[in-house]
Amino acid sequence: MKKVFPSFVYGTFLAVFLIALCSIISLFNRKIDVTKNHRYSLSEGSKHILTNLDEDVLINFVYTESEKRLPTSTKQLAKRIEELLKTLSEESDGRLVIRKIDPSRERELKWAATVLGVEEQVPHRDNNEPFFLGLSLHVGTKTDLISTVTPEDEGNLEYQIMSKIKRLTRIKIPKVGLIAGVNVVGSNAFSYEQDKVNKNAWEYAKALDKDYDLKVLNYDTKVIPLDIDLLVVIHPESMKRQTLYAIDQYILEGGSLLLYVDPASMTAMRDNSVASFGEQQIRKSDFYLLKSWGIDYDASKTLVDPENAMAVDARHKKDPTGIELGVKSLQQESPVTKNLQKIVMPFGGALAIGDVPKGVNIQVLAESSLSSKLVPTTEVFDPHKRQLSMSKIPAKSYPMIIHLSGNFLSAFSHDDPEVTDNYIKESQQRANIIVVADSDLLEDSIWSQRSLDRITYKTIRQKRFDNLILGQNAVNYLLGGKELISIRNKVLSVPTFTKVEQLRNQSQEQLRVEFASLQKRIEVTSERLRELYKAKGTSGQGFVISPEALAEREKLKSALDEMYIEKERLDKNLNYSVDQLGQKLLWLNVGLAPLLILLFGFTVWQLRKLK
Amino acid sequence: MTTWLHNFKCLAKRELYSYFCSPIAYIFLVMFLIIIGIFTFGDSLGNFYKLGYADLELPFFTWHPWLFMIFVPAIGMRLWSEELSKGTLELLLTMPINIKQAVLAKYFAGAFMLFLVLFFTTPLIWTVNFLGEPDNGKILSAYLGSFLMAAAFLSISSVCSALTENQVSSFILTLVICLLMILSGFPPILHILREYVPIQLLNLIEQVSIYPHYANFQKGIVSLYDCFYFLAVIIWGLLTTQHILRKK
Repeated sequence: MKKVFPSFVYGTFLAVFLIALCSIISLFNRKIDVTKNHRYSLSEGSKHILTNLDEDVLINFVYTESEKRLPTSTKQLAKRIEELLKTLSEESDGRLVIRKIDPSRERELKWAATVLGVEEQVPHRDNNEPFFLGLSLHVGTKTDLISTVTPEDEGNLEYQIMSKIKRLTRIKIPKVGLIAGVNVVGSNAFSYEQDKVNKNAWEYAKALDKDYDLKVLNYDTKVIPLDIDLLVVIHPESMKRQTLYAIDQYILEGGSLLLYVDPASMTAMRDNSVASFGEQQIRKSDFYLLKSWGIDYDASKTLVDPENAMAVDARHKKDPTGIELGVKSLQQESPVTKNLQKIVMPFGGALAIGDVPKGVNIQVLAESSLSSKLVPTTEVFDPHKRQLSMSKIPAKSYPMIIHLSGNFLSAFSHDDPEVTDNYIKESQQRANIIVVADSDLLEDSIWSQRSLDRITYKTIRQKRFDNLILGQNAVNYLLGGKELISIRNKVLSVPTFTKVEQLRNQSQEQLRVEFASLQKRIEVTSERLRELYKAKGTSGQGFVISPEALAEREKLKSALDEMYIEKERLDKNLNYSVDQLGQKLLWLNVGLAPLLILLFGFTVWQLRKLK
Repeated sequence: MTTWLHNFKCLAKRELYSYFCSPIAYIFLVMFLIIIGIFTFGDSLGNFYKLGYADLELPFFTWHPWLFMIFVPAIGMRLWSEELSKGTLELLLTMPINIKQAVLAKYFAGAFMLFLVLFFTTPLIWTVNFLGEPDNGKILSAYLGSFLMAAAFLSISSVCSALTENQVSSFILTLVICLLMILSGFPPILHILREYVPIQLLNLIEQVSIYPHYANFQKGIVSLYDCFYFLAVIIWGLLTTQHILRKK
């Protein structure tokens, strides 16, 4: 013990010295972000906004720092937020000032935090104290707020801060016009009866309202105001010709349009409590102007893509009417779709390039796989009918999102009754249009799911797909601002197993064909059996059945049983090839390396024995 | 300098030779690989394949601190305890080498073993790249963090091994220290501690823990502070080992 004591003292002093050195180094800490897309570094967009600030920006960082009873994850989150704010401030060359407010220090500061609008968060555990963690932003007399920051917000925080700074420092906030044939703004009645976004609105409408000056236009509007910088049209179903004319003229005046058309709007059907899927019940958007812009769109047909089929249950059962477009299907050259991981389009349509007017450029931003087929919407909802219909249609790839730019021609002529005195036949200025062949993709439940916040247990919305980001990118791009796109594109989903998805889609497609033919055989056999039973009653022999008929009936019954067993087997084997691959990879990773090491050890042992 | 390097090489080779000529290295490697494989792929554990994400952070790297906490003391327990119990330390020091060289060489051999362990898990990088398009920068950064963490545990193990002649005592002592170093940054433990400890001390305990430093590497952030933290632990371990041996 006597021998060890000096070493103990030495070790303790050395540890204290090294801890002190660590603390000093932490003050001059430098980081390298080695992630793809530099997820934890400031994006170029943020740098651009910060270096071009003309006014001073003040950010109040409200955080209950001195409170001991804080969840550790909150403390770590606050530390990272502080680092982010520090980096932003450094990049702004002194234009952005950060002020820390700790409401736990003084009563006045708690009052100040409440006045600023930062909300107190109450952790779900009893022995955790309520705390403040939020930001208030000030430019001159203008203010904005991020009332609470939760761990789920962290990935999106840079974007949130920068979009608010951009909004506060803008001389003029871009005006976005919205015309919707579905209840986007959250009213109880149809959206066109509502001119404001309320709390039940889609997140997309809320985001537009937060970032821009959003104006909800009347569905039957006769004119698009000239001060609208961008027009967003969602599911234009049975739109009046006067409104179509207004949009046509708006484009010819050099306006920008973001259009979502849909051959089967699930949202519209749900809004109208449609239970059946007959031709009359299907809610489709038909948009007459597309033809004159060089786009062919068949509103009566829905796209089915077995290769990009969407998983609909926990067993990864795929539904080819829901299309998942991954990196390979999305244009990587365009800022709108670059870096998006996956978007989903349920019951979406297809666009095709038709007679494109001279001077119009077309860029396909997203397309389906080569195995996709365009099926009449009435047959899409019944798997059997869909399968039959698909067997008659050739497969090919279809554009699903298209960007058009250039000078367009009017779809109306002088003789049309809607035409007004200041009619424009040909555009004088370049216009920009993005057409998306689905509108349901923007609905909250499609791209996100509800979950509980880890600390406060409040219900939050968690992103599953990049649909919302796509919608926001398109708006930013059409309004001419690429900075925010580059920030938002960092907020990406975790990459998934594309190989497994491919394999699953291939095997399920094969099984689906087998399943359909089996179903057909079951139906034919059941029909034959029914006929046999009927014949028994009409043959005039009463209840006496001929031995031939009896034999035939038993044969059919056993055949039917076998078919049902086969159907069950097919259903169970949905994921067979995927499970097989999983087993192989498991053995490869768990077994191969240890086996090689053991072989090497055995060889060494043998060699030593020989020596 | 050449003699110094030559002596260092000879001693490191001798140490590595002793690892690979006995079943220790093979048992260690095989056990680690099987267990990490089970933890990564296991249904209610890492669930790597069923989760379907081309990312190794949760299913694979999360387990490293806990596994290294057990496996590194097993490698490091014999670094000095064996020499002390067999009385070969005196013999070793009669050779034309000094304590610093001996400590470094033995540590290097142990660290090489840890490098091998991580190297043999690289089929998983191929697997995840075959299945999807992962963030390879993040994976490499996590590997670096994992290696630095294991190297830091090894230096602690070296100290414990120099303290006692008994390998089992050395193993248990290292395990306890490593466990404390992990747990001191572990949220549930901090949650209990904050009832009794002042906030400044709590922050210091958190700072000393391995956990937050390793977590940054896992995320794909390589920071000067985190690198220095691990290097500081390694330097502390090596210098303290040297001091203990000198006093003996």
